[in-house]
Amino acid sequence: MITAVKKGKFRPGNLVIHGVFTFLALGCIVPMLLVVILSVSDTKSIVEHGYSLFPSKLSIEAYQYIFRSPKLILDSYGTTLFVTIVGTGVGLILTAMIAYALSRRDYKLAGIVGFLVFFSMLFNAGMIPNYIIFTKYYLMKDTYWILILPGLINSWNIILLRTFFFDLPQEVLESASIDGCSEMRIFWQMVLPISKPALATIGLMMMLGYWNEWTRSMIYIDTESKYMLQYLLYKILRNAEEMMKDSQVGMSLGAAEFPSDSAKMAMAVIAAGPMMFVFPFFQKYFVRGITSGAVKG
Amino acid sequence: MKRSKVMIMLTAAMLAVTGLAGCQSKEKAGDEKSPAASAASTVSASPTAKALEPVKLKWVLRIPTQKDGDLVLTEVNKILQEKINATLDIQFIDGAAYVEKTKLMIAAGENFDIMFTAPGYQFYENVAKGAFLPLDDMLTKYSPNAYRQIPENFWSAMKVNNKVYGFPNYQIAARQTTITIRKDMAEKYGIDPSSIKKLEDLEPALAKMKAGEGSDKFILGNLNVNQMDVMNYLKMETLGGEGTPGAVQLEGTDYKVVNQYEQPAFVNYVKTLKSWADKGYINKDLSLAKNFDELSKNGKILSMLGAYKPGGEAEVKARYGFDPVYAFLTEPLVSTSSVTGTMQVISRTSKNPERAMMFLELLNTDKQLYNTLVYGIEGKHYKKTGDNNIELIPNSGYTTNVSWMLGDQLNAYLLPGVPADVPQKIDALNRSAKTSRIMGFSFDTEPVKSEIAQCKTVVDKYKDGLAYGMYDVDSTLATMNKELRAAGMDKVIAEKQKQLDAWVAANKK
Repeated sequence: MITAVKKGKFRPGNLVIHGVFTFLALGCIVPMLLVVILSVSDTKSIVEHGYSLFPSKLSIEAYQYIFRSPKLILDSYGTTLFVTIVGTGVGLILTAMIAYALSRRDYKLAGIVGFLVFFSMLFNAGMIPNYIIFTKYYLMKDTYWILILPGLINSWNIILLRTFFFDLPQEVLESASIDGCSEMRIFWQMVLPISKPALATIGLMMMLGYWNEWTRSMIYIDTESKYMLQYLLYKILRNAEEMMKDSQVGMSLGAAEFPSDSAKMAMAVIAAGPMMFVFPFFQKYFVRGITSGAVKG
Repeated sequence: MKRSKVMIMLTAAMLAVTGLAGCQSKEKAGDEKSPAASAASTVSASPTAKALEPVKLKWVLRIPTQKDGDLVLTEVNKILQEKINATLDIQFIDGAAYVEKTKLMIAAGENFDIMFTAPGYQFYENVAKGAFLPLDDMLTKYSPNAYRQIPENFWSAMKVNNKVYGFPNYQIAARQTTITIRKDMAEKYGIDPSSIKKLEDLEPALAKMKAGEGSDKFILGNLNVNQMDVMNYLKMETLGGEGTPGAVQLEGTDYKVVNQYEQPAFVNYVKTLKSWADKGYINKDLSLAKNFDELSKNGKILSMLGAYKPGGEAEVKARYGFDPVYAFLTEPLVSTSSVTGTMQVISRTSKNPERAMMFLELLNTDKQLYNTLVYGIEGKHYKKTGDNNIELIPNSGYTTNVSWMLGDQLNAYLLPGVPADVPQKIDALNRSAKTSRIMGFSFDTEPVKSEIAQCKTVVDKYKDGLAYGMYDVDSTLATMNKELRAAGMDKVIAEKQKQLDAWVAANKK
């Protein structure tokens, strides 16, 4: 590999570039670090000294507080994991299937189907029609289906993947069919394996989408054990706010336990943690994948 | 190249169509008023004489799901089946999702009978959409006792366009602006709260506490410049939401809407706060503190601004961790917004509105029914310690903690530390309190919605700084009023004036 900059040679320009990027990187890392540190800070030291990267006293009380009744968190963890894995797995296969069919030049309906996919990318019925359809006609209220199905297919992903499939060497596929491969076998054993980078990218995006999804839990789910993790987090924080509102009107008993600041931060760490570990694992595919459909040969 | 141009045109056309489609659906949602009328007319067929058909009622409440909810409902249904042959089902919704979920339920025309709501939960917006039934005829017919037991002026507060839409959850509504002082501090420094009649009288007390308690404590906290209690003290009433420009004087004969932030009383108030901040009685750090409760539990807060409520001592003790004494700055006052804080409404999608009203009658008159809903089952969720006194059992699986949301709060069993005569005192205070001269007026924000939002942004920017004496008063108020004017304040005030004039013409001779 040839590098543009020779080793050991000092250039003032590089210093500026390094400085800027160090600064940007710190801007990303420090807030995360602050959240982690606050989650292990003593509540009293937060109350007295405010948020600080160097707390006067450490304590794991916040985690103890959360895991004192771990059922709720474990339930939502389970729900989120289940929804994320099933949703990403099934969604990825379906997306790839549609995209592959659309990429084939001998598919006669490609124009119409492609238009429909494109159309639904631009148009969205909006929240209320969606709500009516899902609850009244599909009867998916308060089920796991509602958490998974609406996120399965995303037009943007289909178009991205189709563009990638366009670039596949058609000769390889042709020769496979000459050798007697069925269409299914070509798809599973030829197309999917060579498309790993693109699939990884889309898989990661879908996974993040599912992991961070919370509005559907809020709107459609009534049973606490089916809440997704992010919504549970949102709920705990918002409920404290709502309770404050009541007490300001001077009506509530107000004796309820508000989660302390450190408990909130601990929740954030618990909710975000796993994704932080998944992301670097996928990252090597990420850059390659997202640009893979960009230049058409 | 040619193709991409076509594409852009196509996209633009499609976006335009979506835009139009968006508008259309909105209009439609606001226009479905007719079903309300037809549902109301079916009510007139009186079922009371004959035996009642069994019905199911669905009640939407802003309470998180309760573990023992079903158990309690079984108990409640025993009472209900016997009395009105109905069974109740409660839809528990978290506070975090209440506005969104109820909005969608209403927009989708979902079936439910009764709902807890308040202006903060879109009461007026939903009335405008025709989501709720007017209750006037049903009230006297199916709920005569509960109707009588609530003071007349409360019902007028529930009116929108001269029709009653909400059933108030009767409780303290008289607001009395108060300085709450820690009892031990008052004793230590010889502060006589009854001698404090206006804000300026408080100053010697603050000075004593400041001198004696050093610098690590907050002498006076919980300050603001918008809230109802502050406006009451300044002898004004804000129309529409707190913190929106446009208020009328509490007393007087004309109904002139003015910008409260330019009134001499307001300027004086802010100047007093500023001088106290300069003397160290008010600490600007406190405006940033989100954890006021924790601070005061740790003994950091010595006094605060707020409202009084009979029996509130136990609540202050539970929430702030100290015994209070009160200095009253105003006479008690009942106004529209102090009454509409919590209520039940009946949905236009209700199949049995008359039975829902009968349920509300029971809820507000049957002590056992109400207390079961509030506290759960005796022996399992609470222990009786007297005829009317109870003690909660910790971690019992049914802790709604919201007697104020479920009905006539005066019927609630008393928790430890609340004196026995509190319900009577609250009732007496509500009835003896002065009624605002614009009781029953409610401001429809729709015509000036965006101006109000912009004005609120301006006010929000300055309110804490003004309340905690961070800025120079005259120059800041001048900038703020200039920005408010730019944000459309005059239009908001003109609209308020217009609606108020129409209301005065219709309701006052």
